[in-house]
Amino acid sequence: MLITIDETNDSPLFEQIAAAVRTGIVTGTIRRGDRMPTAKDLCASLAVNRNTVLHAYQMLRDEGLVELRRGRGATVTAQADNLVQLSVAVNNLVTEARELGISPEILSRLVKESSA
Amino acid sequence: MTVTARRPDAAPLDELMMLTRRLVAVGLVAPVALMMLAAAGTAAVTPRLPDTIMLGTSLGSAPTEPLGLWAAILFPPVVTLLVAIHTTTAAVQLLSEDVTVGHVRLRASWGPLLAALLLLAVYLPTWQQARPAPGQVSLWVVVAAGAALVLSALLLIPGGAVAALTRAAPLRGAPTALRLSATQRVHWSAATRSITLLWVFITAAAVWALLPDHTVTGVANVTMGTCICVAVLAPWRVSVDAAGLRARPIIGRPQFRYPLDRIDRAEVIRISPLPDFGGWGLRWGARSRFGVITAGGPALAVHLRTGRTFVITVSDSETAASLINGLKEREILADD
Repeated sequence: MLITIDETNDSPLFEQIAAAVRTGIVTGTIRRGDRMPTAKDLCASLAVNRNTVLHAYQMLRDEGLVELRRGRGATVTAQADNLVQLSVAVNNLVTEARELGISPEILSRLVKESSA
Repeated sequence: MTVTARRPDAAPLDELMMLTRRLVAVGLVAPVALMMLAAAGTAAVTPRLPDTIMLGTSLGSAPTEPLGLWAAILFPPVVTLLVAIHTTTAAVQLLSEDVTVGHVRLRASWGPLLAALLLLAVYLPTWQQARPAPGQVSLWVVVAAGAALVLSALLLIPGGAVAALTRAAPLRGAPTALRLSATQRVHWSAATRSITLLWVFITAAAVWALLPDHTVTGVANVTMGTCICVAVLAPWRVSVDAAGLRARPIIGRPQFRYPLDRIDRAEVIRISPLPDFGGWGLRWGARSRFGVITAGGPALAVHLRTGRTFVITVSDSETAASLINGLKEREILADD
């Protein structure tokens, strides 16, 4: 699994890590049952604080995408399959919105209102 | 006119033609010629042979199975010809395709191997049943079988006398380098693929369990011990970041670390554990290759500045290779 972050990006680093994991799931490079790198390895590679990595993992846990277990680290859950399925539907929705001339802002607002 | 698509990194046509000629000579012509020579020699002494030849059911066993004289003379060259045509044709086809050179060698080696077995299993007992017994002919049959075995071995051994038959076969050529900005920080990690290894372990365990009273013979002991050691070492965790590549098993040791400045480039190659590395686990292969081999298929090959190549059968090796190449490119740009 490839995780990239950029210090010049406006998003907080923990959000960038979580977004990279989500992208990996959607593109199929991260699958259900995969072990996430340990917080120690990841913070050494990305040169970030350990708490930043843990914050990202907790965020993914809250979304149901990873399971955190003491001594076993973080593992990708079955929820990853649902995210893949949903991403296909989202891609179709975005394509259709583009064809209908609906801007991304309006589409985003419509999705927010529908899920509220 | 039909134009066959060839992969961009495929060998030039004249090189392929030369390799094809060598494969046909070693895998088809030589074993069939040997068998025809043996058949002609046997046919010349038919008056001294009985109408029915007794053959053993396995090499070295007492001859108990009857076979007609002419069937015993004609069966081996015909079978060798048919099998060698099939295997060599398959090997020649593979030359221009996206497969490991190990497969090509393995296929082509079947013809000479079959010739050696038939010489020992059919012609040797046939000549031994000639009355009066011919002089040194048994010795010559064994020598011919030895020659056929050498041909087979030449095709099988990586880097052997017909090393020209082998060539580096990148899966899709060198992967493009991942474009990284100076401010980007990256981490890639994956585990080795261990499906084959798991089956090897399960099969060995089943064989061991079926042995009566677990009376473990020396061979079974060694097999089981090796399988347990290899299974304990797998799976390996591989990671790539700005510091380089690191590979270690779940138990932590041994581990391989290659800083970026020791790496020349990375690519994805397709390997076959048995023909390319002689098995699974920590292995050394031809062309200064060594590494962790847990399954056949795509593998990450990291070419080091020392001329050696570290190979590991990790999943998503394409991303790893392009990341290593991207990190190398960024390092070079930063130095400039």
